[in-house]
Amino acid sequence: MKYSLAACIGAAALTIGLPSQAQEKIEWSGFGNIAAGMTTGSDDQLFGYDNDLDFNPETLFALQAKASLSDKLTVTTQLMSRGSDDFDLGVEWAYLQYQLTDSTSVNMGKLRLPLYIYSDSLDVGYSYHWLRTPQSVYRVAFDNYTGVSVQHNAFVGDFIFNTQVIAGTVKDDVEAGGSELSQAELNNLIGFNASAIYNNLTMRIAYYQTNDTNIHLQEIDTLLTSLEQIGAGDVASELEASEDKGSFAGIGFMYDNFNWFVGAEYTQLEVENSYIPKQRSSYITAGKRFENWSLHATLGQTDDEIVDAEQRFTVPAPQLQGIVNQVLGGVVNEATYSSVGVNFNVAPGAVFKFDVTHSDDKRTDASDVLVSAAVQFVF
Amino acid sequence: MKKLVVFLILVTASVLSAPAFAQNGVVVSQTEIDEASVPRIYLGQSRVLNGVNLPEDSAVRKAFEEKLLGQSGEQLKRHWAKLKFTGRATPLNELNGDDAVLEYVLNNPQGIGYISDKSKVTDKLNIIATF
Repeated sequence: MKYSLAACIGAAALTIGLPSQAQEKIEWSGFGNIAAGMTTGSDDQLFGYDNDLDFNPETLFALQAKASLSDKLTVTTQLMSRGSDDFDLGVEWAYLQYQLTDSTSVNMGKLRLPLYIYSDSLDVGYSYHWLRTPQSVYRVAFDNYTGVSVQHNAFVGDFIFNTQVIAGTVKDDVEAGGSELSQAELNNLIGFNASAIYNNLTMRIAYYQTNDTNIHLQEIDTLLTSLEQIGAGDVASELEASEDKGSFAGIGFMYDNFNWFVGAEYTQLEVENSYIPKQRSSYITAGKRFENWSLHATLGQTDDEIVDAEQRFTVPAPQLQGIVNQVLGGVVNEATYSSVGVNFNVAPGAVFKFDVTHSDDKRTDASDVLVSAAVQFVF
Repeated sequence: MKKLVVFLILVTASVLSAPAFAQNGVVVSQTEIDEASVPRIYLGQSRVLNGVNLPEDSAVRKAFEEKLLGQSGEQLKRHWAKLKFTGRATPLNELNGDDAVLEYVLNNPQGIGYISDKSKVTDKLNIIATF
């Protein structure tokens, strides 16, 4: 909160401090998402919702200010207030953009980490057909990074190629494992994504890596100390996510002929020598548009695996072994999701969405159903 | 009551006359470019020329978007929301009618726009596409 407040003041100062001529050219726009949901079973929990009707988990409001400093240089800040953060105001994006050529631009500042097809517009529910992006795939705990991004557009025959190369660092409090917030720090993060657009078809690949991933889990601090005390320091270091190499790869496509659409994404994430399992995630989605409404369905799956578990995590003390297994069991996610949704265009720039999502956890055999509705808009 | 009747007649007339625009629409610019560039400019993929739009509720814009861009207004609104809030493109300026568009493209060699009436096009402008 302290950070976000400082950042807000910084962003506001940045905007107000501009020459008056630039202030006149400030373009204001915004978007929002008013969502409510509840699970059908009294013990069910899904995506931050439980059996009581709740508006907080996914409701958000955002305001964007963009000022032109010259023909080629612009500054943009996006302030957001999320129900899940008690509506505290935070800076979601804040960047300078320099238009190098007609086809190349450079962004510097706080930006969105473009892991997935819809990462960029993750919060702009209005820009995609789902009420929320499929949580089987869109599950990396941090969304933003600080650094630089270079974007390039090329036209080859009937193809459009969009390429984006990024470099920077991630520093964020994330929910990992248990309920307590953990500090995530990723340094030397580099990578790219490339999309090929051919008429109604978009195909995309993405790859990112870092040699310095740190996701500190407070809950296992005592465990790590105990392991070191009994001489199982190698297990402790395998468990800890500290200065480890991480990589992320994704592939996806979306076909949309405005009558109907189909799309899918598959991603794989790995943090070597850490408690974080190898995560394989996928979804497939399809839908049909009618005059003023549309119908769609999505199937998703997560398939995590602790690689070489026996070799890496065997502890000579049975009691500690139990705790280690419990920690590892807690981070592995093997679930399937299925959802159906219906959308109604209620006004230009506003859509009402209704969604029912069913999840099945293969490890715990728990099955949850979430019913949610949202109005998503842009202005 | 009379006012209401007049209003209704005007609304009906404007709705009925809307399709009449469709046959006569043209995309114009001082610069000669190929027709394939038009959708790229209006979908925010290319900055080779500066495109201007007519208001969202205009029938000409609707015809232009459906015929040359192959998309509905709602689709385009979603598309541009994505571009706008992710820093990928700046929304195109909106002008209020044919005359404003003609004035803009006549004064801006790097400008491109579309109008409802082909007969308003002078020698100084190229017709890039018709719709």
